[in-house]
Amino acid sequence: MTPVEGVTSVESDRHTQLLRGALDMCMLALLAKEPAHGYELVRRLDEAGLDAGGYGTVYPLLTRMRRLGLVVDELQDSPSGPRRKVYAVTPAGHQRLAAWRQQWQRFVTTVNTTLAGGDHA
Amino acid sequence: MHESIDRSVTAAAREWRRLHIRPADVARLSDDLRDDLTAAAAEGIDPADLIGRDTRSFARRLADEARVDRIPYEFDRLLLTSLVGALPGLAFAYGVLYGYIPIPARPPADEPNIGAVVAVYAALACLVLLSSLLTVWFRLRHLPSMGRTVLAMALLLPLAGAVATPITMAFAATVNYSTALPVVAIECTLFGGALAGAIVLARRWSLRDRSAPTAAGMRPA
Repeated sequence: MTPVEGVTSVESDRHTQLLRGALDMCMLALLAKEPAHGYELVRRLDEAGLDAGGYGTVYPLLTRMRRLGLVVDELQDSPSGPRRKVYAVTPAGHQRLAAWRQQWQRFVTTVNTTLAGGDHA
Repeated sequence: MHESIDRSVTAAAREWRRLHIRPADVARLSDDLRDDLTAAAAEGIDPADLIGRDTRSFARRLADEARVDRIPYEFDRLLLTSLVGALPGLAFAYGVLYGYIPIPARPPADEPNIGAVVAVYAALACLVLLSSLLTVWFRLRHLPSMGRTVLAMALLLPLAGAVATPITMAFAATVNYSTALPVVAIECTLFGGALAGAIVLARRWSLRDRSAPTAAGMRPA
């Protein structure tokens, strides 16, 4: 993954490690809002400030999610050219996203609580 | 832009083939990647910018995430084991031909009998083949379809030897049976290449069912 502008390489590595366990969830959440092709998803991740590491990281993850049945590819009309293949979340993907979202909330709450305790130490 | 897509997809497919991924899966991965790159290209994005310079790493990651089957050819191990297995037989043959090991049928040096010479050489070749095949079987029998591979090798290696021998001898004749190092190296390459080709062919033949396309597509995790 590429370093985030304005931060040190150590912070960038930390960012990469934190994102590693959450990237597929973020991708699924963005696709749940609106289907997208691979590059478009990369752009949305960047716009969200996630710095996901580019197409070389995102497209293989998309392939994994498709293999797991979380997303499916479908043809969609394009205003700028021929019909193009986009990825959309399946019902199983929506269920998984809901479960991941709950798990993430519990995790964040636990981490926040732990960090808050650390401030007082 | 289409040329750039073709280059990227071709480079990725080359890597997938190098990883011995089944042709059907290579075709499917290639089609999917092409569709995605085409969608990006419609927005003016060059595929080379998307994938980056290291197409091989990208292709490997993609294959890993897709969990596609790889055909377990194991050519390197098979060729090395075949060669190592042939060494005892070759050492014995060397001993017989140069008189270190006496055998009743050894052809006399002063009045060579063609039939006896051919019989001795054929017997020694069979011995080398047998030691190689037995080694391959005992060392690599845990690999898929190894029994069929050994049987195919038993059939194809003698054929390759029968084809390569006159070709190598004809080459030797054209250089007046020179024993110069480059000449001997070429002769060894001719003969060894034919045998290695037979081994690779035998392995491919025995695993042809695994390389056949299936209707299942990408397997679920």
